[in-house]
Amino acid sequence: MSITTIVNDPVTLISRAKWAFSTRRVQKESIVAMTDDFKNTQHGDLILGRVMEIGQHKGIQLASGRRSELFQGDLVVLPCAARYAPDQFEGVAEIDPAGADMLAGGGCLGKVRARNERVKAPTRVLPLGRLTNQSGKAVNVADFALPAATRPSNIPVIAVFGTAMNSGKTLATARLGYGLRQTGLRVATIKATGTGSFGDFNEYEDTGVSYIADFTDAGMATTYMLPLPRIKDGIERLLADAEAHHCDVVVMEVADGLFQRETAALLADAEFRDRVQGIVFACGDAVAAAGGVAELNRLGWEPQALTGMVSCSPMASSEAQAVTGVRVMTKTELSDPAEAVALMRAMKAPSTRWEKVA
Amino acid sequence: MINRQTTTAENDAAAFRVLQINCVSHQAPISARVIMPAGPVTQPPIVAIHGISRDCDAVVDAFLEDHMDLHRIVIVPHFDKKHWPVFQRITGKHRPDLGLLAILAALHQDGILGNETVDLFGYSGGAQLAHRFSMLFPEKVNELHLGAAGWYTLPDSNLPYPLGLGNSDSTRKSWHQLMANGLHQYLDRPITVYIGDQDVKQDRSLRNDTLVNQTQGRNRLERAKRYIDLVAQHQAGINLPVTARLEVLANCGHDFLDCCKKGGLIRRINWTGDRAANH
Repeated sequence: MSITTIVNDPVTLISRAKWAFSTRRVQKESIVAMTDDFKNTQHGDLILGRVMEIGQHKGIQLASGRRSELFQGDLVVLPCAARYAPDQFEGVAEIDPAGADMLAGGGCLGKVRARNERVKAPTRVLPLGRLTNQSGKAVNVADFALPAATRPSNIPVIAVFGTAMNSGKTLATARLGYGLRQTGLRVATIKATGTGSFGDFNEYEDTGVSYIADFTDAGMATTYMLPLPRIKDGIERLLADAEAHHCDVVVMEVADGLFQRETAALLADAEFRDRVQGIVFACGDAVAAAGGVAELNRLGWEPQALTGMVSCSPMASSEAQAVTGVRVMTKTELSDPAEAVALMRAMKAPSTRWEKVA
Repeated sequence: MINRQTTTAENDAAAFRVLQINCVSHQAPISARVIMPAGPVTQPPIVAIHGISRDCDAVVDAFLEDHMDLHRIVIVPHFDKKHWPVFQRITGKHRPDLGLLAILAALHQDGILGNETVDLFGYSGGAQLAHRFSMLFPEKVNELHLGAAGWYTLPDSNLPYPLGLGNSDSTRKSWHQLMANGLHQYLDRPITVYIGDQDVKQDRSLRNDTLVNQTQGRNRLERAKRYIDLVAQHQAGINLPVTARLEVLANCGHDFLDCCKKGGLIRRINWTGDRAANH
């Protein structure tokens, strides 16, 4: 065996590496070699690297669903991807052979373009190689995506949008899923866009719903900078899979704020609008509610309920309700089966098991 | 959470089984007896809710009276007084609906129930809960059987909740809106009220205030008749099949056992024929 072969054999290394959550669908046995051609790295390609310097991310979310502390010298496998996170980094899907930036704890390696003043510099990773398969092709998370839908799904979808990161979308999605689950419905909770992370995924799973998935299951480590048709195809894969798992309704979180690139594109897309039965909008205060509802109305959407941080304050809720005419629901109300099912009923979801019965 | 104990009929080759299940809802713990019939199951499961005496054994016994003809799973919740001081009405403080959902979820989890809808029966106070639960979760319920309710939540937005579906200052939550939201589905099912022809006493347990007396009548018989008339009128008004039906039990007052023995109450509930043609 030549030295080149030994150096390029990643099998031992990857078996010792910490695999990020966003790689959880990857079948490791498909990886047989690696290349140092980083110039042609595509969004989603798997990179084996070694932690050079600990920065903002002191840990990595493992594929097993547990967080692992990171130490200098640790081997890691992360997909190359872009990230959009106004409270941390904006980064692009590029790998600098001299050192790449860890853009997200759930697994996203790239190059920082902008950084929030309040966060540290990113954790740096020395790329060792781009992992390749038997045929020499780069291994990409998309290779392990759920299959493409063979026919359009018909399952009702309640979408959850918000003003920005941390406006309460994930909590709203989880609680609405929980409220509906208690009525006996088979509920799917899905994250349609964003950055692969087990935080949201686990929060959904804890509610005991029947099906949980995110865009990483559709083969995308993150959705930032991906073309809209690819994101819509990913959503359709997830909906079809939820339907195949005999779910009755999907509660689907769409990441970030209304003005974020992919979220804005989805909201403006007529096909997507036709596919969604109703929306819940999470926001922080009454002004955000007013602005958000106005923007949604402008795009032809009418939210059925407001929620999020605004709902924690009765006074802010009253203001928001008065200015928008849209009901504000607390997390407790979303969790209440009577409220949740009434919300769903108001959306006139056409093809639930219940509707068929009725 | 579900714990279960099993009681099997002694000396009976074709034995039915009665399970005891213990569940936990958001409001409080709740238990139920579940009758598993001996023979084939050919009818939908039925939830049967006791009255204010909370005597779930009496309900179990009534269904077991003709157990050889019992072809359905019967679920008899027990709303004990300590945890469920009020189980007839659904309010912000009292959520018996969550108790029923917890029982159904536990039975589903245990594989006893599938995803099917259930028939729902309640007697007296149990009938109050039965129709209010059905208004809140119409999609969960198939046939609704109400035995001698003291009073009803009418599908009338001019009356404040819980008398009707109008706004009420007495409750913070918008129950009237939640129930109005599902009213169409609620009306779209067979709704049968059973009442003794002698159930005309204004006993201590009967709600007796001016507004109820004016809008529903002075006794259970009168209230049952008016309720069925109103429901039938609403069904016709929105072009639904008129499935609201009154079954008057001859020589019966308000006693549950009398209604079962003399009036054939349980037999009527389990009737599988054409109700319109036979009653």
